[in-house]
Amino acid sequence: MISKLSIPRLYENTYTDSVEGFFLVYNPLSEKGLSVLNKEAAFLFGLIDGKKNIYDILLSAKEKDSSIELTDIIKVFNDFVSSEIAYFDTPKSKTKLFSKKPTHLGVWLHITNQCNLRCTYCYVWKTQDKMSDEIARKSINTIIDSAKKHGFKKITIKFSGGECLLEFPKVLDLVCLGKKLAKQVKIEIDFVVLTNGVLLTEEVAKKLKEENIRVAVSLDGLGKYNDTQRIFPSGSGTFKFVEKGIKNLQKAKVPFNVSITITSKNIENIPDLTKFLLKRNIPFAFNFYRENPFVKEVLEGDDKKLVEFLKKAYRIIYESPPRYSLINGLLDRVTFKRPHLYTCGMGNSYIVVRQDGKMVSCQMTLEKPNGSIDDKDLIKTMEEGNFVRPKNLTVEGKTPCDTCQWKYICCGGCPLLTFEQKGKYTVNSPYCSVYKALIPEVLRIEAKRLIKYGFNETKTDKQEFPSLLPLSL
Amino acid sequence: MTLKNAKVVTSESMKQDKKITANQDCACEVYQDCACASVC
Repeated sequence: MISKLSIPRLYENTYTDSVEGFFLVYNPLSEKGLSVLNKEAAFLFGLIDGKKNIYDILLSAKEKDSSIELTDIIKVFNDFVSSEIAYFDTPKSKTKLFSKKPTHLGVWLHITNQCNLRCTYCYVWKTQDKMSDEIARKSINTIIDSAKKHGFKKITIKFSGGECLLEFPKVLDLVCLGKKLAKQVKIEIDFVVLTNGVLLTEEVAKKLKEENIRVAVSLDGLGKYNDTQRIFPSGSGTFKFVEKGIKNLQKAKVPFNVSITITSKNIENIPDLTKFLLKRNIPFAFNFYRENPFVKEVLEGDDKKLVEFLKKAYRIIYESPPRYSLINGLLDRVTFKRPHLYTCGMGNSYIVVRQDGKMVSCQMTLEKPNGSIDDKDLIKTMEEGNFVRPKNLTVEGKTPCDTCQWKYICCGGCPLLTFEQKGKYTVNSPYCSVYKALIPEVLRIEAKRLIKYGFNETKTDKQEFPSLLPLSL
Repeated sequence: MTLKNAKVVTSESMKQDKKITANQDCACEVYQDCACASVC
């Protein structure tokens, strides 16, 4: 309960910026995301100095607007508290925030090593091996069983490969089985197909819609920019096929997004690709290429160029932000969903099963199995498979992450990449300077979205659900 | 300046106001990569 004598305070490491006459406030320890204040709220927020109480603030506010009352001030400061950008008495407890056990299990089901493409940066060594029906059904069974035993409330199964649509009947069979078993044990379950998009025919799209399966389609650029890295075994490009696949998804109203891998070969086209996707109301995510043993050429983008071209792409989004939030997909492994201590769920809430039923810690370490679906307790196998050393290393144990204001959204980046390039896990990501340069830009995009739809929206601004629009490409 | 007009909008309040549906809110709801799985 706020009284006249209560003293409002700001959280440590709060980031602020002004955006088009509004004020952006981001508390890295908040679970509410970004806050945007109009100029009146920003004025009151600016009066917080850790010394003035509410009554002092009222007196200062009256100099600006004599009609303001104590109840008005209390209401606004209650909003600041519920938005988690200010607090009275004690700040939100970090320990409480980070002690929550994960309740959502991510499962990467690598159902085939076969692929109809030969993308230049792929981390999978293609063979004819695929998951047998027996292993596939057993995987679903044991995963749901283990998840239930360990108190997970939700499972997301991601079908991957290779190209998992080469095994579409198997996908449908497993979706059916997964739904049935999850229902029996009262766990929520959903399914995602990770595809190169080439096999997304009208029939496949229709079936995906019927079964409520979501889709992530890889597309790395327009025309030749996609076609330099996403190619058929013959070497010819895939853009036109993927474009058609996307069209089919939109026609069938399948929820999907586009996953973009940024390399030195396509970085210059990212702004144009952004424009293309925004125009078609398609959500998307930018991922940075991660080197792997199967790629001989250097494909990582030069940091300076990455920042330069991503800023150009961001400018395009900023000028016309879509209704849906892109914030968690704009900067590789940086996610603003809620503060977190680990970059990924590896070892905590993330299971990867290979086509032969062996388990690995991460899809990038397919050649290093650490257990199998025959193990008694898959969650225990997952936990023991955590390769990061020292054990239980969080971002607070990394240097110089421990003093960085962005540590709870970046967490030091992909641990595997850091180790490969720096020889240890206890340091920051090789992409640290890129993340630092771009995080403020991403926040500005989210602020612009909140301004557009939270403050300024008129009826005509309203958009439909992005991937439900059957727009022509 | 009419301070009574002070207003705060957060990413979360946009969701609660149903201005954005769950599916619309986050592009990466679809592609829940390893990073997302840890924090959802």
